[in-house]
Amino acid sequence: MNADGPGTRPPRPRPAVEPHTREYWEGAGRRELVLQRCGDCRRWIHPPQFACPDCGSEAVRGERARGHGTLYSFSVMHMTGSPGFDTLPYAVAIVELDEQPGLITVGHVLDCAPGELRIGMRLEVDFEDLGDGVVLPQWRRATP
Amino acid sequence: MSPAGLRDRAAIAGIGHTGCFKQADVAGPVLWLRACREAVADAGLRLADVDGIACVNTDPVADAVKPTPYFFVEALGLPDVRWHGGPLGGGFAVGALGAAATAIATGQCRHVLAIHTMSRPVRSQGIPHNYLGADVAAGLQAFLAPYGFGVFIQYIAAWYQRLRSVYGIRREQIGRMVVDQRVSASLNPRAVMRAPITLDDYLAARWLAEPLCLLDADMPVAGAVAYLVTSAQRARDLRQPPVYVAHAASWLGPRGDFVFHHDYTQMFPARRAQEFWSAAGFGPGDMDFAQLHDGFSVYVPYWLEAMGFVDWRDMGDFIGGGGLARDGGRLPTNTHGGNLSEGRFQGGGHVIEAVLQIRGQAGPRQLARAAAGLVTAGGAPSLGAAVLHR
Repeated sequence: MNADGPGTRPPRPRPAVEPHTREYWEGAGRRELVLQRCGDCRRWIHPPQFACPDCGSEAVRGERARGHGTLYSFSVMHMTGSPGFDTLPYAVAIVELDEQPGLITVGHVLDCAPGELRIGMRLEVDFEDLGDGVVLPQWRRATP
Repeated sequence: MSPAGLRDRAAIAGIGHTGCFKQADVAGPVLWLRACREAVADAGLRLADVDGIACVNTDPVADAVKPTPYFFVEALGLPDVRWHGGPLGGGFAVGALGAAATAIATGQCRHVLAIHTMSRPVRSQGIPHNYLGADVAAGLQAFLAPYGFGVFIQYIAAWYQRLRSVYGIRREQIGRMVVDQRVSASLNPRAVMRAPITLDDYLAARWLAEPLCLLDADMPVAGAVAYLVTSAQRARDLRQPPVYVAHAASWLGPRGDFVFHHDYTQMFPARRAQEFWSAAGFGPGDMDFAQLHDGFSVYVPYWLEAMGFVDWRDMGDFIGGGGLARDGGRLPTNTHGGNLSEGRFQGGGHVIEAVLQIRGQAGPRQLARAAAGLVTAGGAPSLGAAVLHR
């Protein structure tokens, strides 16, 4: 998937590490799912914000989530064009985390073919090393 | 909002529509100017009468030339524009109508040209809406592009998948609507997709982002639409029968994206619809037709539910039973073929069709009764809706 270099397929995009997302990506590098959480009202926030959308507190900081969730939805891509994704079809999962209703994240379910995905299935976090220090949170079926 | 708000204080007095082009033989800005001149002439006005500009810039094509108010005042020679505005997305073409009606109702100016333009992507750009960034994805795309989740259609496919799971909506039910809209498009000379299709064609169409297939996606086109909006009183003295704006709303959803929403069955809270109908002085049952944004087919059931036409539990049967058909449906919808078959206008073609129907000028597509209709545009982040009537 990562055929880099001039004249070849485009590389899979790497995430930019920005000041307000640093804790998330550094956590992933340690193979931990670190999400932003409000230090005052305790609301979980993802993607990261600059202040809590509920209480306005600027004391938002990373905290390790349990990494358990449910498959909320998914779509199966049949078109080329996304840089780095030439092998079709592939599925992208929308995962609702146990920490809070409506707390949504995105990833692949690494141990499921697209046809095996079922909304409501239980998932747990995994990690994929893209090399050069980039680690992505991913998902797999929860162990019972 | 006070019920008195906008009600019937503004009217659409003129419309312009260049038609939809897969391959235009002139530059995009030439089309924009044609639509403007047509709308002004349709109203029986002169360009010098225009003193307001609302233009929308939501073209998804990455390197498209985008319209600005400066372009229009320069190229049309408008020396006396008192007001300009326009939504960033704001429900696209319907938001522009709402902005124009608000400017008129508050006395900012007398004659607003509201303009919505589209470009067609060139093939070398790959998939429109695609994440086109280089090796490093920043902002929200940092959480999407590394997973190959940067193409707009993928997001809507995930919404649809959730809808199927929760409410049992079936593909053949959505397909019935797509087929019916194509029948209407066959009666619309401006439509780019006019060849009849069957439900079998729909079910056999190739996947784009499953569960969305090729025929669930609108057809990118180049073109422009414009509407000349003025006060109800002035409109009555102009060339065309006035089409009154009972109400127009421009809602923002809870997020600017389609991904990190807490509920993939809600385009926007139903309480917004209650406010809307109350402000308009009409209810869903008063609508003779609806022109509902269908950039993807599945936007339509979301709008039907959100605006109070059909409950989710009845949705599949309603759509699958032909409830939206121009000929014989309970709520004739997208009677021009919609974005799916007329062409991708993000709701601009919907406004034009509503005006034609209400004026009784829709030719072979004319509905027997078309006194009032709903027009909508947009999706979860940004939505516009308006009730138009004679």
